Amino acid sequence: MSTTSPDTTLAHEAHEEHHEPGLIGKYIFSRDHKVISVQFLFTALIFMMVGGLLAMAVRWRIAWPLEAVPFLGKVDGAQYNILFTMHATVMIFFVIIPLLVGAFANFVVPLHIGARDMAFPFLNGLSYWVMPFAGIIMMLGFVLEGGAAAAGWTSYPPLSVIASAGQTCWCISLLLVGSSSIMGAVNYITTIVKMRAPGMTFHRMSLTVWSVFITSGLVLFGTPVLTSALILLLMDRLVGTTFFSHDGQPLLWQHLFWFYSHPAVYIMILPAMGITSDILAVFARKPIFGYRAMAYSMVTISGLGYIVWGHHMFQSGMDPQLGTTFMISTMLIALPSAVKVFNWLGTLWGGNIQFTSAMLNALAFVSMFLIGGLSGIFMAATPVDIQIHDTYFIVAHIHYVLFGGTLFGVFGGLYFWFPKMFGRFMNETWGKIHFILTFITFNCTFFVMHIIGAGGLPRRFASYAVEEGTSLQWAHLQPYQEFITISALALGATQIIFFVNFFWSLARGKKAGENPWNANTLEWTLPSPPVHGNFFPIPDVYRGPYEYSSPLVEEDYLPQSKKLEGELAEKERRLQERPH
Amino acid sequence: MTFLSRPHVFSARLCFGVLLVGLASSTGIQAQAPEPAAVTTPASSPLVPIWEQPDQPLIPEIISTYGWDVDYLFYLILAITLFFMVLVLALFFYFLVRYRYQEGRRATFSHGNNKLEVFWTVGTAAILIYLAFVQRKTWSEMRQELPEESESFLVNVFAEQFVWHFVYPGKDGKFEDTSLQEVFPGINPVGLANPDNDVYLQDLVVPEDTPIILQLYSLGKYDQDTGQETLPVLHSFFASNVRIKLDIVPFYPQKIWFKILPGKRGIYEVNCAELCGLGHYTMRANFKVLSDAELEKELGYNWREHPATFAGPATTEK
Repeated sequence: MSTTSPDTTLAHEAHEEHHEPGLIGKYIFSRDHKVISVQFLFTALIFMMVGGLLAMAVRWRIAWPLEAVPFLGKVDGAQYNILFTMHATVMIFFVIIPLLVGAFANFVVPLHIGARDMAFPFLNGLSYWVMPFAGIIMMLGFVLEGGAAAAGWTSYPPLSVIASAGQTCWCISLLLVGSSSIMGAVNYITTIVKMRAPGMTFHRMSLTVWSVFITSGLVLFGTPVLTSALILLLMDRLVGTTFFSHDGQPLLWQHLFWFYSHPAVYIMILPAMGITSDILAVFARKPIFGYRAMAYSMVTISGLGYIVWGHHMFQSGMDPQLGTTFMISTMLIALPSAVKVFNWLGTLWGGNIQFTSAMLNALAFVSMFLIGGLSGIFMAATPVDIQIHDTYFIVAHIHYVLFGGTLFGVFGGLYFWFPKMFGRFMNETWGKIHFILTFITFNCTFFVMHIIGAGGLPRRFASYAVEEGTSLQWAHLQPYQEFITISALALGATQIIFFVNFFWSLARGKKAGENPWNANTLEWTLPSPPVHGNFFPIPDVYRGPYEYSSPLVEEDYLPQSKKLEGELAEKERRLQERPH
Repeated sequence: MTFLSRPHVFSARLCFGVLLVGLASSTGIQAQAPEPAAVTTPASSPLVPIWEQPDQPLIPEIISTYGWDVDYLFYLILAITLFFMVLVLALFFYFLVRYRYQEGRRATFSHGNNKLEVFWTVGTAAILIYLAFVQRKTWSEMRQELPEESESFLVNVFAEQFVWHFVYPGKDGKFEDTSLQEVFPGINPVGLANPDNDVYLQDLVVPEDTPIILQLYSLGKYDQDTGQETLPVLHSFFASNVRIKLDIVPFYPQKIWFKILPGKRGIYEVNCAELCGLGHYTMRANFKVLSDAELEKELGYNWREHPATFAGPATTEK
């Protein structure tokens, strides 16, 4: 394949049509994957503020139920249900998933595999354009009678069937989000399979690309199930069918929902694992330990991810024998995660570790995901789950995985790719201050939840024995609740540092060169930010993405597209053939 | 701020929580239940609810026969996971310090180690499979077996948004049929066909040292004036001291059993653990473990003389 002629790439045709788009074409209806990525990023950051504020209100209400929540006033039980339902919904469907498979995947995949753009640029644009509408429909619930959805982010029927109109908004909005995900997944799979640069074999792809590839597979098989379940729920609500009530099966929803939503948990963590792996290798100046094990463990996670959904339903009235089956598969899915943690540890071993803001966040990912992963074993054990199911232990676990894991990964990824996205650095000093404060307040907030949750403290309670008629046996844990709330408020306030740093750096940050981190992957051979179309010409790829501190070259990095000559090339060929 | 007013209590408990495993391992984790203490509450003493007792433990007191089995498994997993957490974090921080950036030093050029990877993969798999199989006995005891109805104390539990109702079979040993149209709050709260034949209480009252079987129903709402029905929703029967939790699924009654240890007479609490609507957090009931004499006083008959069965007319309304 000729590397100088752009005619050989799929994306070429798409770009012929609009060479000099106007301002709207460039920034709003763009088909450039980098612009779409930034659109996802900004949308998700806005929703992150909304979701974060909702969480603050939830915590305030729990700690001081008799006092008015600032800016909201007195919150009653119904409003409290809205607060935590919308917190989870916004954070999962409008922050975490768009950040990972919208913002990062969109930006990184074509650049990492050496493609000019995604395979279907219009579809890519479309997958973003439905998101603002989904967000508006979701937020519309707040102004409807009865408020927004309040049946939990899991929306178990029959409660979600008899809920107020906000629940309909919830269903329609998630249908749109789901279609966005599916459009993205089709695009990523096609792009990764068909549009890799010459020499970019599957085993030379970065782990971020691997993770997006696998995640897209999960989305493609899982999301249609959620979409169908949502349509059934809408039918129950609007047309009067009884799929999930009367003679139907309330448990059917739980099966369908978790058949999507358990893989969705991996959708929400795998890309962050990929990002973390990339950052660890760059700043440890070392190849990833066990690259193939890293990639295949993600494949294993995605495979096993489809046969573990029942562990959400141990106490649901599902046949107890099924419980045992799901327990074994769930225990096994801890294995690939453990392998990944061990390999990250191996990557650090013998490195030359640079503690940049990106690296600190990636390291936090590893240590917090470790705790979140280990606490998952408790829930996998059927008898232990009896006591901790639907308690604060679960809340602690999910936040260790999704905040301690994914969000630290996202922060790391932002500090890491910010120079490539916008041509400027984020401020390192403030980045480190933000990291340290976030790390401390995060642990103060969520670690304590393990302790009170182990005793069985139920979640989703608006208050614990302060108001009339509430449960009494949990009142003695109120001091912990106050401690958690104060930590959570501090955690929320700390994010202001991040947002200020982010937007300030956009305009005023230190200018970044082509390859500020001395990294190997293809995007770092391009100007920051890369131009529309990325690669002119398409590069040839000679090696894997993690050849740091290679003995073949003087400097401690060896870019994927750097051609070695003569004796060195021969030496490298021998190195690549040698098993480790 | 309560936790600031009693910082010593708060911090002591926090440490206790973090160091649970130390306690568990130093007292020697044993698979069998500890010897039940001699009767802690003399049968004649007045009952004090657990929430009015000073210094409640973080992990609620065990009052059921299988409670310790659950807690044992919890401590077992805690010990294993904490061991690996400490091990990995220790290595992690050692590496961070040992291999911190130094000008001019070069990282080791290594792509991994197959033997090491096989070792930790197989090792972890073995531990996880062990952990899975060790759960089986307790789970099947709790969920896959039921004691004989004739030797057990039977209760029909009705969960409504946001109230618990408890129905006892009465002298005839049978549960009455129920129908939503018969529900009159305060008079016939669960819509029994013949309210006089059963005993209705707002509290769950049970004997010590006897198998207890609960049958769990979810109750919808019915407006007697308009005839408007509201669907029953999911609830979850949760008694933390018993270590029992099971969702109550509309149109799908399920049975669950437990047995209270002797000497655990007292007043505990039942909560709803599955989100059931705006008053979810207020859905509680007193859960009284009583002596036979007290139980007879509450029920109005001696249940041991009137063996009961779930068989018979009891069905939920459609």
